[in-house]
Amino acid sequence: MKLLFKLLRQNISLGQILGFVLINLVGGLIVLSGVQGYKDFKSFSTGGDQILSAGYLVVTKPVESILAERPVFSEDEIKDLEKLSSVSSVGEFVASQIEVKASFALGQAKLSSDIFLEAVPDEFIKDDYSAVGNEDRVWDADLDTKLLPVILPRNYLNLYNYGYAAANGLPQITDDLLGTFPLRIYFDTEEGRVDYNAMVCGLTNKINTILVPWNFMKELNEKYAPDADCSPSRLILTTDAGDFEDSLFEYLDEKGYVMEGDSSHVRLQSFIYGILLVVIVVGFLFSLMAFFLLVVSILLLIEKNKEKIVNLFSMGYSVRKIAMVYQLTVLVIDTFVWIVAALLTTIIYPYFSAMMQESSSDFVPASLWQVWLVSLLFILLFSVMHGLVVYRQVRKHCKCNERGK
Amino acid sequence: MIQSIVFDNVNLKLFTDNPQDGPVSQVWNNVVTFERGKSYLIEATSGRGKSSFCSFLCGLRNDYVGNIILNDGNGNALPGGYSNMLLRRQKILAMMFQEHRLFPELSSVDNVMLKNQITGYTTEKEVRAMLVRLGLEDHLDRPCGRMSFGQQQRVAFVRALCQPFDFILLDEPISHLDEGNAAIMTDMLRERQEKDGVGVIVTSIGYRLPYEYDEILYL
Repeated sequence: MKLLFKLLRQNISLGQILGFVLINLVGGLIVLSGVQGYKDFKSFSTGGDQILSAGYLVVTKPVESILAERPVFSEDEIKDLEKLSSVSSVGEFVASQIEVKASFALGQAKLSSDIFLEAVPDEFIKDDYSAVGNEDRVWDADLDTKLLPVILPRNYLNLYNYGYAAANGLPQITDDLLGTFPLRIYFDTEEGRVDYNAMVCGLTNKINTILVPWNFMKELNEKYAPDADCSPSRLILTTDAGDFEDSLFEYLDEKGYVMEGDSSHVRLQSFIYGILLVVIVVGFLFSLMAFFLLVVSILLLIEKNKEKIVNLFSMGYSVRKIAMVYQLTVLVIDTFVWIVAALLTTIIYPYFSAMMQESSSDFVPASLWQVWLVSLLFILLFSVMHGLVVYRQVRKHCKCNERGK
Repeated sequence: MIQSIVFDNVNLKLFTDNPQDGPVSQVWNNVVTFERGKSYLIEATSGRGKSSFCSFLCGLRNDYVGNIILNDGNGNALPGGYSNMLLRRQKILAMMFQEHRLFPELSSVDNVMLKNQITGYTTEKEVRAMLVRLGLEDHLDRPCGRMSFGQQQRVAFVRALCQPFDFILLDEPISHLDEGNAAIMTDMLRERQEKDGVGVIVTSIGYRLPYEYDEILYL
């Protein structure tokens, strides 16, 4: 192979190869940055909330008037939503049908209030309660010890810390203290008052309601309010990809459904995913341009060496062996470019993440394994495609002899 | 092992519409058998299709009618196809081209070794010894592009010998050689034939390689 390389590497245009390397490096860097940006944004946009699954949307029906019946979703309407391509699952909110009160005492201060509980299916709740120091807890009520796990909206805590506690000279409560927060919940039933010790499992800044486990809520309603209408007035939608398509928003507008609270966040998320996609496509176009530049360079090189190739073939060299010289050359070039692009991304990324962390404490640097995986995929894709082009061209030059007789 | 090559009514495709216009000779439009262990001289004047004969035999061209059959001695003919064509060039038929087909940027040793690498038939030491025997001791590592036609002819001859083969086809091997070098070439060829029992086919347009031919055929 050494002599073959010595013979066939002549006429390689360093200028063309350098052009390919530079253009592909730019394209590769853009593609890999886009991929990493996508991953960062995904963890960033779902970060800060360890309770709810990523990529969700809460929809309700608008209230028509004070006297109108409570607007609820029918089974058909739920099925129609499940059929939408960007929706992976639909969950119902079930509300408590009996009166509920909550109270807590902190030193001399006591606070009591009527509250309202809701539940969503457990698959929408992530089992990660570490933020409030309750790593070992499970999302299930314990009827024997009367222990009820709850998830509170973060703005309830903010209301207490910055409103009530500040005005009454009470201590502020941090996230990690919430796990031991002495909250009691009472249910007024026909059989009397039922007390539960509430255990705060987490905080969410995405849904403004107090959530309890699904099974507990279903059993509670069935036992104490069997005749109540539990049809859902709110639904939670999720997607696997973490973003929703515009067609979903159009569908919701058309049906007159209302997106709750986080809809602007979801729309912004969708918009940023769109921009990242454009960035990746632009990078890919650069890489594609570089790909064809190398194709042209290598075809020119083969054309310049046409006579040598024919002579080698007439001596007894196979098409495969002749083509291998060029295939190994493009493999080395493709590998070099994508490895350097991945290395540059790896080197630059810590500076970028440090900058992001300065502007937002929620930003968590993501691992770079996807960047390396994408690089490897491009090495594989480009090398195979280049290899095929080379083989076809070498075979074309030997074609008149190849058939034999 | 190929024992014989049969030219069975082979003619140029160019003349298939009007066969009477095509050449008729001891080779064209005839049945001729080349046997392993024997030596043949193909004598031709200009325009009688000597280059076509060599190209057809090596499989470099297919524009002929009739059949070229390579027999293994058990009544089996080597089939056509890509892999058998490679086999023919690598292990059955060695070819010294009239135009040499050397690579001008490679040295004479590298030119021979490039061919030798396909089968690993011999060593670089032996290659150098063969080139020295043909008077190329000062040109072993010189690029072939800077050598005279006669010197290139000797390199091409050594290259043809550096592979296993049943037949060797030499197309005008001494057209630019002096008698002394032609005699050395003859000796080397004879030694190989005696050692391996190969068949020898030499072409000439007048200036013959001085060899003991079993048959002389006119194109």
